[in-house]
Amino acid sequence: MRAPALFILAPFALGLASIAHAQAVGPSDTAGPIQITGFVPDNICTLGSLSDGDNLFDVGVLVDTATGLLRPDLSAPPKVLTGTQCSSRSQLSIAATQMTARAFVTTPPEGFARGVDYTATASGWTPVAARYATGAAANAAASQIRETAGAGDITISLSNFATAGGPTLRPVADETYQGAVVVTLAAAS
Amino acid sequence: MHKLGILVTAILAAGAAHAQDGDNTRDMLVRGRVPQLCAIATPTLAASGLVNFRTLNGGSLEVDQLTDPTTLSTRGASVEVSFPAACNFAHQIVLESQNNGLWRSELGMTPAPAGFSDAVPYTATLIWGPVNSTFEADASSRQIRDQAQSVDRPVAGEILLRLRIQPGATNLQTNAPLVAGVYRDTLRLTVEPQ
Repeated sequence: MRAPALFILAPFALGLASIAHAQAVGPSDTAGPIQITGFVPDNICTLGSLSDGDNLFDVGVLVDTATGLLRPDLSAPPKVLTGTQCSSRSQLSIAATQMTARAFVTTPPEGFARGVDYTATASGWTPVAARYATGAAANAAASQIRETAGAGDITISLSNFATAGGPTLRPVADETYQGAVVVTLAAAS
Repeated sequence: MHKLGILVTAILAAGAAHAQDGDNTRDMLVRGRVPQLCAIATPTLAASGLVNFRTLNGGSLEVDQLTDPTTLSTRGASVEVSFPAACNFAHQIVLESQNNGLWRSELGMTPAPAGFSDAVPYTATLIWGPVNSTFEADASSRQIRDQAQSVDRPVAGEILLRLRIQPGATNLQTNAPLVAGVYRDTLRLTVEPQ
């Protein structure tokens, strides 16, 4: 109960002092200084927007139509996250899942596969690009640190497409093979 | 004044929390497709099983001696041909014989004299994935004859085709002599959607 009483008394005392001062000096008056304090937290990061407004990597036809084997030149146009910024040290992470056949869900027969692996890379933000290979047992390079605050673009690209199980296997026919890529940017302590 | 400081800080902290929760992750999809495909490569002669056939010449197989010099009837022959192939979806494989047997093919040919035969039946055994079936080109009449087999899954490997002509087999009766001439048939192997 004592603390509120003190808060009420303090402004009252200040008011009395001001009145006394005005009476002593004349028509002008000042009060203060009044300190205003702002605080910018060190954990603000914002990922930019996808430059083309579309979150789909369209790889197209995955196989050589003469052999049925995976095309060695598969690619998709990269995507750019423009306007990315962080107010402090940050950590960029990327994760991805294998492209798998959506309709052909059973175990494929001998000589065939229903998955296509690839590597997703996020570059341009950290000194070393963050990379995630869907066929790898571990992905130590999937998270990378940037020591400084800043703003810029992050480019997401796909590469190293490979038939799950080995290059001699043929992907089964399926109208949709689909995987996902997730990019995360977070302040790092 | 201390209360003011707390207030400003609280507003910024709320703003920071919003940015963290709503704007720090981007999800993207990766999509592609694999069309339905079937491919058959050029055939090769299997290492074994070549009896009374000459070697494969392109897409042509020639019986070395169609008649037995003693009986003048059909001499036995067999051959095995393999086709590297792949079909990445459930499909069917069709074997079609143009003549339903080896038939004498001279233009303007005259009917076979009584007691003579002018066609030779044969069998074609097809092995492909789960399929193992024998097609009979029985030479009962000269016509197109085919046989389709459903294959319920993708298959990659080799299509094996074994052709066999039994000794003495004719379209007339066993061991009937064959009229002189060139005997021919065309076999067509097709893999296609069901």
